[in-house]
Amino acid sequence: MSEASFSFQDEGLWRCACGGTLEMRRVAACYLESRFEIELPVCGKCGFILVPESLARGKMRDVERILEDK
Amino acid sequence: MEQESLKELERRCVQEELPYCQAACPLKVDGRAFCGAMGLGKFDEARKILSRAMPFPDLVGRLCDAPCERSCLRAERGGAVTLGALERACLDRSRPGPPPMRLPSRGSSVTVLGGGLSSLVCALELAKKGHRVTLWGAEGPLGGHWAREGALPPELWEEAGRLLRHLGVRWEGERGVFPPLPPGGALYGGGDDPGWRGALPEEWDPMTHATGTPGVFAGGAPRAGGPSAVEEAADGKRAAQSIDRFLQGASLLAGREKEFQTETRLFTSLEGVVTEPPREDPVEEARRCLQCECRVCVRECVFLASHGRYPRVYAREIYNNFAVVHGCHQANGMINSCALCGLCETLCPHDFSMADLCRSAREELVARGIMPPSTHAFALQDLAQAQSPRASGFRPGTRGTRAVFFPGCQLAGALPERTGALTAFLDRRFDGALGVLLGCCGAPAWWAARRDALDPVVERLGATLLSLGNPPVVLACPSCADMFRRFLPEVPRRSLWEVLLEGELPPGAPRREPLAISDPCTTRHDPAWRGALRQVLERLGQEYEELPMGGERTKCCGYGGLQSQGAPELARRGAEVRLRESSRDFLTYCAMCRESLSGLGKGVWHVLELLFPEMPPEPATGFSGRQENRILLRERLLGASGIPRESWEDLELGVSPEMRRGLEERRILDSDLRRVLAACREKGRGLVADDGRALASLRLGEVTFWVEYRLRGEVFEILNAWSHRMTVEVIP
Repeated sequence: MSEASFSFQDEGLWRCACGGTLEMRRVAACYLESRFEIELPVCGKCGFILVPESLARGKMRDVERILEDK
Repeated sequence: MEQESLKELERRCVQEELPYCQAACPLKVDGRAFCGAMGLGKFDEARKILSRAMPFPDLVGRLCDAPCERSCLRAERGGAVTLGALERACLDRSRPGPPPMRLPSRGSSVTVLGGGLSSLVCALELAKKGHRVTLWGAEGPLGGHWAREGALPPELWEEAGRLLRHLGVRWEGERGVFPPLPPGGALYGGGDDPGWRGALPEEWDPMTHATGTPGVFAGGAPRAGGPSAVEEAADGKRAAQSIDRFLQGASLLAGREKEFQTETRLFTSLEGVVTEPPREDPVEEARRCLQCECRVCVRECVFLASHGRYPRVYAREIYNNFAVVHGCHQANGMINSCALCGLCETLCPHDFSMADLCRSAREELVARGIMPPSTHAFALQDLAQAQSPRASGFRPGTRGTRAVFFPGCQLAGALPERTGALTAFLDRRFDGALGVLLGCCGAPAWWAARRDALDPVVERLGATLLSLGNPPVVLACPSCADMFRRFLPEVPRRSLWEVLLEGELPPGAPRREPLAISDPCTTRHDPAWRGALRQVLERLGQEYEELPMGGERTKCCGYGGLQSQGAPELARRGAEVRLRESSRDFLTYCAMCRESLSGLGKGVWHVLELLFPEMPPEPATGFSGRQENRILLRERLLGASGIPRESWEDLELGVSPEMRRGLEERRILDSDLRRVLAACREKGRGLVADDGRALASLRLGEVTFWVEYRLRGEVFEILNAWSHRMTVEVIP
């Protein structure tokens, strides 16, 4: 899964409730024994990971469906 | 699925059977495809289609007596398509294709006696297959009795002779002088050459054309009804096929069923076909061809149509789905998109049931552990909620339990006020001896093929009713009735409508305008339900109109078989198609039909709304609303469950109608939102923005939910929500 196809232009508005700021970090996305590495905004302080709507309802859902039909 | 059952299923679907004209044609010319090309004015293409099955089209096509016309279905609507005339029109308007190719020499010799049509065809077919062919005793003009009668210009026969020479056929011998059987070869005698009549064997197998003497074949005898060019050509063609097999030592008969069949199992409906008399113009005439096919099921089912083919192909695709070891199970989507409504089986002349096929395929997916986990998860959670102690339970009547009312969880959720009023009405009808049982019948688990979820539901229902001595159960939902019939056949069932008819109806108020009745698909095989409901409407004074697809041909609203879970867009399209069957508002007697058909631009009423009109309206409410209503109704009818409320349940949500539609489409429940919000508030986790918006997230079971909101006082105003099943974790 390539992260180049989704953008997070709106995600810069968010900051973490713990006071930390979001920064892009490598994240493992896992489903049904498959694992992908992607970059997502993560709170530098508490580690809260943001999965934006565009990703969840776009590429992530597509991949979930493909894996479910494997 | 076993290969045997696949074969049996494939046999039931007749879409691939020969069209009537092709079955009747001795040469098996595809008249349907021919008319298709002619109807488009593609004469060269039409000639190609003719040539595929018809040797010497310029001879046979011009002499053809078109027995196909006697089988043409168009005969019942204005007269058979004049295929014979169309053949002539095609040959006059098209260019002959290149001469046929000759296969590499096979080394066998065949002697063909006579210059009649059957002999010429036999020689041509064998020469094309690479045999050394000698045309024996065919001196002088070719064409047998046809040439004598001057049926065609002599040039056409001469052209046929040139083609045979081009393919290496040699001329030898004299008429009436019998040649020796070529060593290791074969011989064909064509009785349609008058010069040979009487000198040839008189008996042969009508299919293979083999005579009693091995290697000797014959045909072309005069027909009882007069000479037939197409029959003579077919004799030569079939004999050539047999001779080729004979020379290879192969069976003369095996696998030639389609060549010999004269009947077809194809079914073509003439419903809606307008009568049209034959036309002079060949293109217009060809367009009268009905392009016979079956597709009776595909035409009426959005699901079957959406996959582009027909059940025979689908059965094969589903069979192949289970042969996949590595790679994608491509038919999963199909298997889980069927509404399991059974309309196809009713329409099919051979009772092909996609419902049975898809439901058993779902069982197999579950058994093999490859059912996509997300497909039915939401529906099964909804079932679990309906079965939870807060939403289900039993209450005996105040004066015993002579009968039990089981409204079903969707009716309880969709129309709780009416269900409550109906219960009170029935309590009086049964003089206080009516028990009330709330909960789910297990239908979603049955449709999802999840026995593990179904069995406990059925066992609990069965045990409760058995403990009461199996009194009659009054059912308001036809899906519940279907489930009771399947799994609790020992329990006597009564439809609510039959029970209502036994006394005064509730006062009620009919709508002023007539309504179109949409029968729930689970009443397809239950005329008593449908009949009792109509009697209720008549007693109530409600005018109604039958839909074109009503009664046993009724259509599913899209909820059946969990189609709305497996293929939500398809379910919606089906509902839209359904609503177009009448310009009137709709009336139904299934809570889920009313929910599924609502919101698409038309009034949709449940009969209980007419019977109990004075209460506040209860518009379609969706999953969240139904779940909350089940709990409220349970408290009202059975008393509080005694299970304390969770703290998150009291969070107040602000959901706009537009957001409500979005949440329903995304299958996100208010209870999901409340849990996420409560957990994030408690732990202080989440994201915030300068404009006061906040974003909360929580994993609940197999799903991670995200809720974007703004807190206004104590109300969580929902701005957006989404979910995913993948998990994410930071890579250290």
